[in-house]
Amino acid sequence: MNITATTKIAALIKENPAAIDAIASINRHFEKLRNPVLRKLLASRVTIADAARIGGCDVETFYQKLRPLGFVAGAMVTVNQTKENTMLPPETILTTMPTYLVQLPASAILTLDVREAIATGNDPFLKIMNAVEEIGEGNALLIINTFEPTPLISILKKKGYLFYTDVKNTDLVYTYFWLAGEQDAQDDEGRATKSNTFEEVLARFAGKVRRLDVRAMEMPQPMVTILGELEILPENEALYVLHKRVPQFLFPQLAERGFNIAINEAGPSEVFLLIYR
Amino acid sequence: MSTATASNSPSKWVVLPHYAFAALAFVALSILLLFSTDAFSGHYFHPKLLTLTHVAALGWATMLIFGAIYQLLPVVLECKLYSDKLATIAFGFLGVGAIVLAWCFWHFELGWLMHLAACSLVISFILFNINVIQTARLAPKWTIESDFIVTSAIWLLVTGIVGLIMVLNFTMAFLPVEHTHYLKLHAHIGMAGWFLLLIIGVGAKLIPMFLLAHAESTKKLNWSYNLINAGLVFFIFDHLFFHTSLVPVYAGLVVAGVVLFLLFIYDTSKTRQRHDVDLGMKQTFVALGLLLLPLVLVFIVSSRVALPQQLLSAVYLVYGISVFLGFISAIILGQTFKTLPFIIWMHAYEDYVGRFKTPLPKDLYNHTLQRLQNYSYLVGYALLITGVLLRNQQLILAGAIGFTITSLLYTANVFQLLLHKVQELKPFTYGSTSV
Repeated sequence: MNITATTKIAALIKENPAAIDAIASINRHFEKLRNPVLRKLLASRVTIADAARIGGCDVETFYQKLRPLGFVAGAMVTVNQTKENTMLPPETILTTMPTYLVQLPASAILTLDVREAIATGNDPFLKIMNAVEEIGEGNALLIINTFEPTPLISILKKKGYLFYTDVKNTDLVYTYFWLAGEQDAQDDEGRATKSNTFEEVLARFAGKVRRLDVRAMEMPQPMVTILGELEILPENEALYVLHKRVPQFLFPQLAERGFNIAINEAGPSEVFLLIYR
Repeated sequence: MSTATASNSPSKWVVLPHYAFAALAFVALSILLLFSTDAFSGHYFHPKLLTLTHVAALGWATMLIFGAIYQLLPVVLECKLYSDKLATIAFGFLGVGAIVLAWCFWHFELGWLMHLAACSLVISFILFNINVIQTARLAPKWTIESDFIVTSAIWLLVTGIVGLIMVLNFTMAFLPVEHTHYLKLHAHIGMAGWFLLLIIGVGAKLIPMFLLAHAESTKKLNWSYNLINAGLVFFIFDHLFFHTSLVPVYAGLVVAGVVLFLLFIYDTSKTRQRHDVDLGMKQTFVALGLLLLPLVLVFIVSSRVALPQQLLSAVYLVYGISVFLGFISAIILGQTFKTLPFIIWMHAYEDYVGRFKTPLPKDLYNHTLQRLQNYSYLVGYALLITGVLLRNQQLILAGAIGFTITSLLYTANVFQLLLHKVQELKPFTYGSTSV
């Protein structure tokens, strides 16, 4: 199997379960892969590049450990190809707390401790997403966790949130999320759409809308077609979908891939969706 | 599974064991049928017939419906299933209860073991009810389909409790009237209250969806719900307390309700955008056609028509067969291949959709086996019915062989789906990730 920096850990494990031990032997950060609950939770959301960041090592270390198991590490061609599409470009690592957080009163920081949920095997993703909804002007969300929540950061970054990670010790990481301020007008605009109605979002994307009719498609073709279109949707455009029903199974995939959706239920079997970043 | 947990879908470990158990129970049912050809010549109160009925009703139909409902309820109600854990525990009690009860009936052991089986089943039904009702309470949206499903769950519990009382009565004999009197009650609450209401509720949602059709109005469904429940309640009170000769009228209410449902399906199917009908839907329409037989027979069974005793016994048997091995089995054989492939596909591929060329649900199982299964089912069913009416054991055996072939083909396909391994996927050329 060919691997690159963007290969998901889950794909490695699926290909060869021995990858668990190989990765866990890199350093103690990856011991959590041996825990089946954490593995289930993280492996499918984390790429090799993400994992290298969490574990504080480089991607090459992974390749060295994985080569003996028959994995072929990224040829130059694939590196070039994936470079611009890499989910996670190297973060600017801030060593001091941003001024926005410093000036916030303690009461304006919503705290969500997900350590117990993770320890007991409950995926806290939905809970976190609900808490994210609470973020507004003048407050911030603090996630307390045992590791840097790289997959979450990449999702929220796409939605226009800023973040700051404070590694208290190897088993305690504080991650703050807040909304981009005035200086980042574009992100602010992106966020403002959250409370907007379907028509307003539609108006904002006027002239930059791709239309897709999935009403005559059998399940799961609508989902396959929509997600396929979204992969090639330009950054500043929106996808206008004509659907027969509110697509329950699509929502988690949209959240995971950092898309927003506005819904207009025109009738019992006529639903218009507007999907945008 | 990174996002299945974030959607309303329950874990696959809740849903899929039901499908596996049901498929194996169907095989067991067919094999028992092979050894029961001698049981169809007399009265329906026969150990082997009781075994067959309960394996069909519990191990096969109810088991599969439980699994399907856990998957479907969150879709219909647009909220998460109340508890995955309760569902798993209910599965355990239903499985154990069905197996032990079948063993007890076959050997006609009416003692403590059967009490245990009946209690286990009632516990399972209580847990199922808690799960369904609590989920319904979370629902942001209420539809007539939800009414059908929740009400059917309550009728299932009533059926189970009546069954438990009858089991206790085997050893303690405290009921005032003879046993078969309550058996009629037990059977009809189960058939009309549980299976019929449930299948209508689920069918009214799924069939239009698979046809890419939509309902103009749910008025017919509302009346279907009212008529079937009214007929059932009248029947229960009359049967317990009054013993009038109005039973065919109550049967008429139920039949009218079913006809309204069939009209609803007919109306919606006129708006459909999909005109090629696949094997799963063909089998579903066959099942709806087979529903007409019990609808006619119920009038003979409920009215006291003077038929020769032998013929009447045979009609009773055909009536039962037409419900369990006819309508219910036929619709399961069809709908399994409309639901299970999608569930398997969802769990295996949802994260890869759009980024890789994934197979589709219909690519995950064998269509030739499915076609043969549909044929062997129809042939087996026709032979069995004819054999019972003509009291011909060779024909009954031929029918049983037809069912055995059907069950093996079905199970092979179901297990091919259950054991599906994610294939190596090729990324699209524009792909943003490259695994």
